[in-house]
Amino acid sequence: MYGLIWRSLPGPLAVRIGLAVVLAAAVGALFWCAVFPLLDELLPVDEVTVDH
Amino acid sequence: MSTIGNSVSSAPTSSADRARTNGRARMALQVVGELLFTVGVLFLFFVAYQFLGKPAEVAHAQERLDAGLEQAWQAPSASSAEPVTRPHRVHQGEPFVRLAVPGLDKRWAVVEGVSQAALRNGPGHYPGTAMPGKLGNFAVAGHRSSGVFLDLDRVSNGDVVAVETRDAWFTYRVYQRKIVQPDELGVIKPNPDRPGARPTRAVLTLTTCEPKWSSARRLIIHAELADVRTKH
Repeated sequence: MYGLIWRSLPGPLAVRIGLAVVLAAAVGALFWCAVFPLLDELLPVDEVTVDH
Repeated sequence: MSTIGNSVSSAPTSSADRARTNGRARMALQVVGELLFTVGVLFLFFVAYQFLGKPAEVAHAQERLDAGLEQAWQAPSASSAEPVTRPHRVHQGEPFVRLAVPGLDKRWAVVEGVSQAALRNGPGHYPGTAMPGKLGNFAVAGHRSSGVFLDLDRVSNGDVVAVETRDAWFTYRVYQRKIVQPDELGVIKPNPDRPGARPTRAVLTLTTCEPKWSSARRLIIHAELADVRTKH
């Protein structure tokens, strides 16, 4: 999987490393800003109120 | 993966030979391994989000709520002519007072309501419970997370909990800290010391989860009104 992605990146080594970092950062940002807040709302880790 | 291309002649039992004969199985295993690795990294990343991302979101929301509160308090309105502690109508999710625990060096804008959406931005006031300074129980819930009520267990008897409204500062002193079952509604009743009885004093109650990052029980802080200072 990662090998496939790495081989499909174009250009010399420096460019590939740069692209890989950008890709990883983009995926990370997607999770941090969109997926995790949604996940956090769906899976409340703690309930803090007293109720029935 | 590079071992697949290794055609160095070796004994049939060598790992390179086995890898060649089981190339497909090995590939499949590698994909599964990489997926598991990815899931593991994402789990760690999610934990990092819980400790860094969420507090940042709360801080951002609190800044916005606090600014809104300041603006609302400075704007002249009919309510400024009303008695000091008279609450104006507050909508769900709207900030309406400030809460401070000097011992923890914390201050929050408290919103109305205790829904998941309301509590995402900071502490929330149980609808229907008393307003600050009033006879009865001013009850507030908050997440046990960094930036909100994480260290609430460090509050002890005699500590100050302060509430600032548009017109006054109310100082409460903590008189009880306890851990109860999640369905113990008595702690937010008008008279939490004798649930069902009429209130005899102005009380403040804070609720959060106990232990941290669990929903098993609730940590409760009760405080009693000790001082009132009007702003005008």
